[in-house]
Amino acid sequence: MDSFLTAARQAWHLLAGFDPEVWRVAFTSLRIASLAAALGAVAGAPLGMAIAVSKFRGRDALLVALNTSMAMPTVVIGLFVYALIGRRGPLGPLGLLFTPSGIVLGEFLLAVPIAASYALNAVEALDPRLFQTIRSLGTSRWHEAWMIVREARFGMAAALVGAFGRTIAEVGVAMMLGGNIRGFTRTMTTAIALETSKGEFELGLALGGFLLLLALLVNLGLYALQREAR
Amino acid sequence: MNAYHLEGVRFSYGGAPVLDIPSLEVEAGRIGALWGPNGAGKSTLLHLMAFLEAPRAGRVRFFGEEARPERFRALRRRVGILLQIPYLFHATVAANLEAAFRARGVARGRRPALAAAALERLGLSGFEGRRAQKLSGGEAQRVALARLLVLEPDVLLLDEPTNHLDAVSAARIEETVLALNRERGVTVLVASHDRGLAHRLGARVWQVEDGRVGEAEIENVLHGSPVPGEPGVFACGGVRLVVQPLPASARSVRIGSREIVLSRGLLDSSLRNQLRGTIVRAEVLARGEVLVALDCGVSLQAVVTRASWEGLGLTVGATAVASVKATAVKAS
Repeated sequence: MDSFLTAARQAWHLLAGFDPEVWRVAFTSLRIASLAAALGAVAGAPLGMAIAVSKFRGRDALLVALNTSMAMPTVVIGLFVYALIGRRGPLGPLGLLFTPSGIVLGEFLLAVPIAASYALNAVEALDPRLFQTIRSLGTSRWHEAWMIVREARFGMAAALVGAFGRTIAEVGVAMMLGGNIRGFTRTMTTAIALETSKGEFELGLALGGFLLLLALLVNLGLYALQREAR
Repeated sequence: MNAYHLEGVRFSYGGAPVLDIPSLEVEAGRIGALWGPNGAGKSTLLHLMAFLEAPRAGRVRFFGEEARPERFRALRRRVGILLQIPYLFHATVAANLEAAFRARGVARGRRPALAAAALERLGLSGFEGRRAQKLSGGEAQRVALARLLVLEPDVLLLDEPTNHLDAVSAARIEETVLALNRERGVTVLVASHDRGLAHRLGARVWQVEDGRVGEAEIENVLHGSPVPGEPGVFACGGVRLVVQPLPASARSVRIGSREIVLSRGLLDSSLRNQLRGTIVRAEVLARGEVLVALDCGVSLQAVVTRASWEGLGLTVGATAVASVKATAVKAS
């Protein structure tokens, strides 16, 4: 217990003292997770919206697939993308393995179903009279979609925040596709895993604390958006 | 010219028939009313006319053009529909109007004047910055109507527009509808279970019942009160009517349009009520009868056979006398 408290005290000094290693890792994490979440939201939100407003054969099966993909273990996504971008994979020549771009690709696949699900729920929760009102204006399909997005704007923002919550906290994809290269692909979660395996808790705890703070901020943001939407 | 001509139109929800209309013509530039109980099919008919739904069978002609589903998006731009409970966007009143402008691509330079005129007409000047979700029911209804008016539609379809509204909002909406019809010749179709509204708008009334639409018995509703000290005499506007029986609590009377006898001059008869007035409108109804609207100090509508109308040799602008038995005036 004493050693843990000592480690916690040292972790606090690392954070408060703006230790360059802590902040480099945190910045790398934020950069990769933000980009993956943004791309995931751009792809996932329209997908969720399209499912919400459409009636088609196989819709229920698609919803089951979407929910399953939300619960997909990150290492399975990592494995799939590894096979895709590894040297012998079809995208091997692009040289994405063990690069930030490789992690972004994997985390993008994690973010898409999350963003789609948030967007789907946001649009399904809209008042049915909204759709009649928009249709009655006789505008183009694109403008109709834009008006729906505007009316579901808090839900759409929640989709982005929710996707970020998933990408910033995952470890499997970052480890398998990034390789945990110091100063290049080392993220907060992979650094925590590495430092813990070395028995050096200080840096791990410092990063863990920062990650917890981020999780708190993300959830506060989601709560605020959901309250605003109501 | 007809704004709408429906032929053999049928509509159903999940196999359950909702509408069955062999023929219906709505004349352009007129006010019409669909009257009937809840669930009769009035709202569905308005949705068909707003091109939000396509009939399962039959055809709809809109200002002479056959309305095919692939043309619905373009046709909707000529129609404004006010839903029974309108939806306002989660934004300010001004942003609600702006959303309509953007949807229709109205030139930016025209927007401020159109918005100001519509808001003023509906008594909403100064409401621009108010949040739509904070408005009262009557204010929200007027904003929804303003959002339609700024788009200058050729046809206005109003679904129970004054239902559950405060008196001020209801009166504003009625005045606006009448003014739009008078000034711009906008065709108006109102769905309502309130026959008084149809009467106040001078609307041609169709009765909708179990999905079938027929020419309704036109009824005149006159508001007023019994004259103190003169049993059986009811005063409304500048007119006195003999009503038998007349309870002291009566605040309105009803006269069926077919109960009114029309003549060129006063009659030597037992009819106790004879009102001289000017003919302001005459139109042939679907069954070949003629609907005659008179201004006798109060507005009255009489239905006579075509033969009677032609025999009388009356025209719009001529003076005529509307006579009715005291027992045919029903107090309520």
